[in-house]
Amino acid sequence: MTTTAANSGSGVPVLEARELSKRYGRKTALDNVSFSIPGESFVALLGPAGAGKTTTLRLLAGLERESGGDVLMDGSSVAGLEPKERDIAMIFDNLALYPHKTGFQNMAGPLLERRLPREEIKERVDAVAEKLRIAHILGRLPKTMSGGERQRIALGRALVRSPRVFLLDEPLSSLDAPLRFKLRSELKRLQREEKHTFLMATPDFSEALAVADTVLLLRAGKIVQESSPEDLYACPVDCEAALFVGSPQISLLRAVVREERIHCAGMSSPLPASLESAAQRLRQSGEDGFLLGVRPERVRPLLSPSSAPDGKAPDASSSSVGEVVDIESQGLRSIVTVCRDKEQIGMFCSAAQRAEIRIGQSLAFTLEDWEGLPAFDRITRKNIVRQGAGQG
Amino acid sequence: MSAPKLEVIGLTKEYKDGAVIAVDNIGFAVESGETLALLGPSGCGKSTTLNMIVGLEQPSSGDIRIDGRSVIDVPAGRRDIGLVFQDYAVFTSMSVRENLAFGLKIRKTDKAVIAREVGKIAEFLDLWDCLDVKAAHLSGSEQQRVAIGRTLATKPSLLLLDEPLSNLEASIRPVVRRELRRLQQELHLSIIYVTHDQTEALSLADRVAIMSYGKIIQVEETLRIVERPGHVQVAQFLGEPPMNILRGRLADAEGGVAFVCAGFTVLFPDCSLPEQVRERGPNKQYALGFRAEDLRLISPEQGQWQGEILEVEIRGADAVVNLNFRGNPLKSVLPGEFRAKSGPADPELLRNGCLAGLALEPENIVIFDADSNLRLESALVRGSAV
Repeated sequence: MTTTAANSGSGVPVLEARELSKRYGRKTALDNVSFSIPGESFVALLGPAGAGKTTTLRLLAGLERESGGDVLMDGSSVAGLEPKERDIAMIFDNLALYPHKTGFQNMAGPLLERRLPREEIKERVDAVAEKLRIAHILGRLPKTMSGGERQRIALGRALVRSPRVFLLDEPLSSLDAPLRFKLRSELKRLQREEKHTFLMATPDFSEALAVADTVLLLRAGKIVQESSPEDLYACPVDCEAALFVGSPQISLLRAVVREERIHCAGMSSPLPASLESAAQRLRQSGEDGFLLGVRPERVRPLLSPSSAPDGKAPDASSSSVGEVVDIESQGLRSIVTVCRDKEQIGMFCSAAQRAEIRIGQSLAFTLEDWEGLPAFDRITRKNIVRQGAGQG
Repeated sequence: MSAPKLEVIGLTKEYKDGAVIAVDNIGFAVESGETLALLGPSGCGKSTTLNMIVGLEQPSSGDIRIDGRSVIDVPAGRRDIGLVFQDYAVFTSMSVRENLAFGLKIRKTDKAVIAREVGKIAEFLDLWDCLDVKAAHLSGSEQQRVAIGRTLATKPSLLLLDEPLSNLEASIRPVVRRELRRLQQELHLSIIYVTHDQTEALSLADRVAIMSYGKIIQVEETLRIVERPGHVQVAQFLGEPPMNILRGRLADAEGGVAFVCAGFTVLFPDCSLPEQVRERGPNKQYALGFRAEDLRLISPEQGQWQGEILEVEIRGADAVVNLNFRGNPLKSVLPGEFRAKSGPADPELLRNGCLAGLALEPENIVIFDADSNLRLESALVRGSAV
């Protein structure tokens, strides 16, 4: 897979934020943020509430004036331009519909304002309605539609236009989970097929991973990581990013390297190649301890031989034992959390395995593949593997 | 045998003289110490059911029994039921201590007893440090803890939790779910947990009742309901992603079973029809359900059916591939960590618009009757036809 969608041809990004800042009085909402959005790409702006996502979108759209920095479209500054002059559409959560107008009339609104020919309006609305699977409700009034249908009409209303960039501010967050999943993949398909350029703000890492070509991780007004979804999950820039992305959460475990072996949570392994240069740098600075990021899918509970998938007993040094402190069912599988030496380690187990596990019992577990695990400095909490790859 | 903690029998609620049936002849029981989740999309009748149990609405027909006794004529507030809403409903102008004591105070409980009970609850819910803090100054999850504590202090015989986590930030929900599990474990409460979120239902309940359009369509043990959906709607609702469903007829064919859909036929090799299907004749319509986890992607030449890859949704530990199979949407879960450095197992396989071969083992197929939407007891049989 390509790393980012930097293949828009000309190489000039459609939209660019350059050292953008926004202060409200003494409070800095956005702190010297730079990024660019290539044409035809889907970029997610991911961050918790209060990180500055909406502020960023509002500055880009021209709804607020920046305190410093610049916004460029196709390479030229749009700093002085009004929102209407920027050729950007902004889509909010909870878009309102006109209750006395049909689905078609609601969607056609923005095009009627532009006085487009009737034929062209109908063509546009029908095409978008088809993509959003709402062609059959265009003749109905909003009150006769379900919540999901209303949200689709509202999205369709924004999407009938073809601006240079769409800014989407948590457009799906008011919907129930099943509908959210459905609509987000429809949005993704629409973006790709219509070759739209999307920047979508979301607090939900799973939404960002699912739809985006590139994820911008925003925290306290700063972009802390810009990467592909795969890279964000596998190589988070610091402990906080590692904990924010992924559910169930990653376990951050104390680890040391001694005589070319890594020791962690009572287990040990030959030093994996992915950690060699990081371990060398640690040694040079006189440190040997760090935090190892272990996601639950990497750990396997060890139960009676019959329930192990391959029946193979692992090497004793790569297994350990802890006390079961929590079991959370997810349906087909469960998440078991064990506590060992005041550290908590999460892992998945099957329904059959779950039947054998009780809270308070001791449970053996193993980490078989240590290759590619992220590692973090204990003090700065920064990823020490990424540094080696020359990443900032 | 003692009576169940709560029994709901033939409960119905009609509005506008029967023109609207919000709750349609439902029945279930909650055993003592058990947590039952009432799970369904918004508008399915969960809240109306809850309101009738609490006594805020009068049923059109049917009965509600607590400890074996009908409570239909017992007014709300006298049914010994504790209720916690999604919007906490703590008194923000009061301290945590006053909030926890509130229910006992209006019951004119002895002061020393109140102090003792509040202390116990505060200890249990880890609220000691903020007992004298005004509730307004607490975070959302702390306020929800106070709301639960205030309800627990009155020792209700049944606890109703109505979407208790809906207003909390996503990042804090796993923490609160874990607290609730500890609560269940240590206090052996009887709980009805109302939610539209399957994650909450599956992680907190012993059994799950799935509600849709006013009806309960399945009640099953949590550990089994995802694996054994009894109804097409349950299959299409549970699981992330839910089961794939294809509709068509089933027939014995040379070398296996033919699945005849509108416009195309799929052959499942090396298996035969179960007796139950054969007896019903060849013209019956079925819905076949299979998990995205069980639909494997292989090279297009190998697969005996092929789908077009629409898009790949990265989930972190795995990815969901959306496919177009002759006009039907299908999903496949690709296991394995997606590492940017090494890339997915076979990047050639995953390009948008590419064809992929699809493989499915017959034992992973669930057969539903397409008319009743109910699951058949039997499945495709391994081996050739007799």
